[in-house]
Amino acid sequence: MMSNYQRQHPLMILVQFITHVKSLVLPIIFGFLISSITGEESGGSPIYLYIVLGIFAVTLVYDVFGWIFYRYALKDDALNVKSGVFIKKRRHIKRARIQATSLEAGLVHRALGILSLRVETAGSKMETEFKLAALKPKNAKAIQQYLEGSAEVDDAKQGSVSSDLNQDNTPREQFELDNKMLLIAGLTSGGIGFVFSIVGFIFSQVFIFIPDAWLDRFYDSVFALSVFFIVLLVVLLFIISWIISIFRYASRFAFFTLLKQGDELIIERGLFVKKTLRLKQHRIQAVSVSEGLLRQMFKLATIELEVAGGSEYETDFKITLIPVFKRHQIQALLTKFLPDYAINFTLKPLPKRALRRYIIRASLPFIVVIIAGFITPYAWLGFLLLPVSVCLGYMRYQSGGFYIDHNHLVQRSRVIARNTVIVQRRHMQSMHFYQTIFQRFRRLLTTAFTVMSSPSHKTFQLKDIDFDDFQTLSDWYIREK
Amino acid sequence: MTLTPPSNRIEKKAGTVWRIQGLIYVIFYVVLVVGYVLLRHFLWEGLPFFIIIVSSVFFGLIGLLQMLVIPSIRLIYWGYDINEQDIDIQHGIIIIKRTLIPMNRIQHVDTEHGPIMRLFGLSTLNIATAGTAHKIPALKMDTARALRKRISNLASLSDDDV
Repeated sequence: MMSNYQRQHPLMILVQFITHVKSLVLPIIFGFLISSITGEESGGSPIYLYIVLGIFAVTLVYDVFGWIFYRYALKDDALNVKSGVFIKKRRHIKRARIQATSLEAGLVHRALGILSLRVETAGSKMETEFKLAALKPKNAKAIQQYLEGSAEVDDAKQGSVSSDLNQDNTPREQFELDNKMLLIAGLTSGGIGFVFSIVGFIFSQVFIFIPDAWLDRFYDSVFALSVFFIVLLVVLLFIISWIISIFRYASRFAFFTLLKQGDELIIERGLFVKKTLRLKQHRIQAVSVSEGLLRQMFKLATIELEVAGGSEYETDFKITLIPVFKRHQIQALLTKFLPDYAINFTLKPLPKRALRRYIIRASLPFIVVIIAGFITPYAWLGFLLLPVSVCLGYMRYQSGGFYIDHNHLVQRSRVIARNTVIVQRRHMQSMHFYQTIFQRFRRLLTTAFTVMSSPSHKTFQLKDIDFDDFQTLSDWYIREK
Repeated sequence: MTLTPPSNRIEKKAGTVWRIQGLIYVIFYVVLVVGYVLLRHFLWEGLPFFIIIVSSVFFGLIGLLQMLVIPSIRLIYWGYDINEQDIDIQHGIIIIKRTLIPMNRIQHVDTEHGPIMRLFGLSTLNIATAGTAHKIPALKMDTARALRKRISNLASLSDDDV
């Protein structure tokens, strides 16, 4: 059935129409404002309204034809697509070239009971992403399975595909994020900084709309209540931001399930927008275990993946494999889901003489502030933050380290969060060493390696390792087999 | 302890090429400044003087450095090595950078030469992996061509190793 050209669900017309109307809303409002200013003398004629309705009608017709002429088929190990009303376009997406697929359902899709399917391909930067906008859930899952190569799609099997993956008897592992852990993850997500700045911004903008007289009275009372009130206000904003950030996090990671089936990882998540991501294990280029400051305090961590090609599923260019877990479970989880990366390691720490450089590097911005402070009145701020930066420098030094075994390199470093990246030798595209003049005197150097990642590649760096490790690491990297 | 560069060196003539490039850079700024001063003198007296002069002097000085000092330092640290397993490149001025690229990671090699390079019979070797790009500048043209052939042979030989 799937091997013949067919159309998507007719609701595609509606979905596309809504998408197009959405993108028209701003220009229409803008046009409306202009027409209401200029058209006042003509007694507010409804011409503009007709124009808008006309645009909507044209859009609708366009979308109807778009649906009619948009046809796809699964054959020859590929997704074949014919589209275009006047200019005919054909695409032929080979199964082997597909990096990852994901099913998505936004609010509109869920209300209508349909899914959209996104396909991510490797290759040049143009057209690496492809989307089927409206599919019956049954068809969407069948296409996804066909493209991921885990099932033959023919008429006989068509029915059973929709009744999900349960019949398959390849070994399966599952991880679910329960509500308690979701809440903990949200509390410790560190997204608060971002939300706080936005809430602060909105709050500061609100002041513009408050009449001056009120504001004067407000300032009088603020100064009457003095510092206490201001602190209270900031704390209040902080709490509001925290709650918002928890909701933000929860909406992304609610109902999180990770399923491993054979070679394939299937991640489902999302409260409002449901997302399903299917990923072949061999596309993973590196695994990073990250512990934010808050999470580290509670012995929690996150596992994220670097994947070649596919990545636009996540706003931060990473795929979250396990949103949050207790750190002692790491070996068990890796063994279950990423056996290629389940290794025991003891990191080789950085040499003692690196500590001074770490502290200087972390403090440098604040030292600049202090020096600048002799011109501006903010020097005290620099002095205040200096202990913090020294602390941070020390923590970075303490986190730093690496480990090698036959096929793996483990490298740990910290900016704010502590990040431990595990990579297989064969996934390292190149290795780099850097040495500054100062490092030369101290017999230190910086090591780095590059892996494929979206949009093109990613480099992981560790500063100030012992000079002798240059030989160790390069011999390990460049050896036969 | 300093990273010692791999045994193969790029051509000494590279220094001359870089010096010429620096000279072009300096000439560009001199022309710019002279043109600006003339424009200000004859046509438009309201043009600001101080900022343009300071910035031109700054960039001009950088150009002078590029012409006189930097090429010889660069030559000291430039080195490369190509064998069956990997390509080993080192370069840098203040920060020395060492890059190791295994043969089986190499996706693409080519050679190119700009007009100045060609004048001196030199050529640049470009090496690309999936994601990163590297170059060895200023090789003799036939050396560059031979290396390109050798690398593409070695890279395809070790293909099955991936």
